[in-house]
Amino acid sequence: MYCYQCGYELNPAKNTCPQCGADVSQYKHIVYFSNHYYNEGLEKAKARNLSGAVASLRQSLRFYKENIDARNLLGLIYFELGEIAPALCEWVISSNIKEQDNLAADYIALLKNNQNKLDNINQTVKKYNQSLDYCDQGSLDLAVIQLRKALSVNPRFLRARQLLALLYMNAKDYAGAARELGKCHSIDGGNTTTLRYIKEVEQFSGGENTVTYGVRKGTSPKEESVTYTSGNETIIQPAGRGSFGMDTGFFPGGLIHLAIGALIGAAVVGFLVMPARIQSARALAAQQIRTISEQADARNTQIAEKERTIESLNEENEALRTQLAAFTSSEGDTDIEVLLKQAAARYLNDPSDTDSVLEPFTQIDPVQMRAMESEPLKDLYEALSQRLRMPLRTYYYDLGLAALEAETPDIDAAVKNLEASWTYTREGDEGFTSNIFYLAEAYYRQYATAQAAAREELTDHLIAARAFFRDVVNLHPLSQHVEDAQNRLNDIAALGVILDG
Amino acid sequence: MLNFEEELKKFQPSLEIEDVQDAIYNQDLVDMSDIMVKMVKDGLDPTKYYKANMTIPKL
Repeated sequence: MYCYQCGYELNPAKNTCPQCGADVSQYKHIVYFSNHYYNEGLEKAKARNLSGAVASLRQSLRFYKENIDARNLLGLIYFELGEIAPALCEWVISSNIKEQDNLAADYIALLKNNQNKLDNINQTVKKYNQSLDYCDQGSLDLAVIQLRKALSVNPRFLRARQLLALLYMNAKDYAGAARELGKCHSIDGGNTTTLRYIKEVEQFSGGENTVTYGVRKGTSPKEESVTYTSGNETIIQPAGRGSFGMDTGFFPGGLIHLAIGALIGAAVVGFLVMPARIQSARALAAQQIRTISEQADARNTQIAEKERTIESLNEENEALRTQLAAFTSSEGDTDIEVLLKQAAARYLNDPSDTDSVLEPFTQIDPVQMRAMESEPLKDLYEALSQRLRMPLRTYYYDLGLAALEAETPDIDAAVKNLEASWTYTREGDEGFTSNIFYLAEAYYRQYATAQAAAREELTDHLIAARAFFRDVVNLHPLSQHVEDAQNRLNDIAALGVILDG
Repeated sequence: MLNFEEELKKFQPSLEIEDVQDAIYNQDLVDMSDIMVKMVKDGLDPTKYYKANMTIPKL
């Protein structure tokens, strides 16, 4: 424990800081409370009461947010419950509080090295959220399909399993609900939602569907044996096995026994084994039919969504044609108007041929565009900018990166194009981290390579570069640029420039 | 008897990986020790507000 005032390590037996003399008695009590709740959470986690453990650990962190063990354990529990993003949040915060010798860094590295698995689990969360949307729309069958798919990949995703059990109960399929609730209980024994649902199932299924989740202890079979002597030898054998052979005089009886055994065997195969195998084959076929049916349902859903998208695009297309038709003829048009109409016409002709559309569109100066008086032209420009956001982002990003990484880098061009790309970038876009990293890199190099007299004007760019590099390190720990960003932060610190904030 | 609609409302969307950044930004990380330190800095005496006297070691 460290003093809240000077950061000096405290003596557990004393209530004042040995360094600054601050009264730390109350501070210690708060940390001890935090430890108490952490202990409680740990005990509950060991007893598989994960919901109870989450509540205790959150309470621990409300007292003392720097309780690294509590935060790491909370992340682990979220991960065990199938909630990857909350787990990652806790581990990122933990590794920011304590950078060295912290298990959270190992957990994050583990996730980073299993990108495929991370993506798969993230997909299951998306499916769960999609199923909630389906429930709101009343498409309960589609919700069940999505949840089953999610649980096949992430079987410990507790909330998804509880929702599936609820849907089964709503459809009066209490056997299915009991099965899911049994699995829910084995994941988290103290979850009150699971326990309420179990009570509901057992009440309304008339006791036919009892939820089992314990381990039955078997008893070792008691074997009876027969002991007899033959000459000088003592023979011990299991009871019921009589000896037979020509020399014992049991030959005819043995044959009869053999025949009876064969008949019994045939009867067993005919009446027990074969029906079971047939039943098993039928069940397998039914499962395959269900799987194919689910796939067909999912395809139908995709087709319906695509049809809606096509209808919406057709309406937008019509609206753009109307806007274009409202403009005056080409006589008297400025260069900007010519370029804009050319871009719009090419877009309407073939929206997928973005290279052809961007060729005139990127020649339009946005500043001049905004200064024009014609509102319809400005609206058309904005509408095209929205529709071409991703291609424009990629276009300027590629130009900027090429300028930055050329043999003879053109830093000013890199800054201009990467800034343009940034204006079309939104959080959540693929490659978002690369966007901010390379823009920061361009800003940094622009400052570092400038003459001393010009550097003062570029201080804002250096401040922005530092902020972007910090974002990469702190908020995107799984990114490939983390190490380079940290190195650049060290380089900026080494410049010795006083930057506000 | 469970009400399906009421139970359904209790299920909220789960956080996705893309939302981690926002979630971390929006986390309220003020804890009891921060409040106590602020009270000390503002010249308030925390002992007036704290009456328990427990010392519990960490396992």
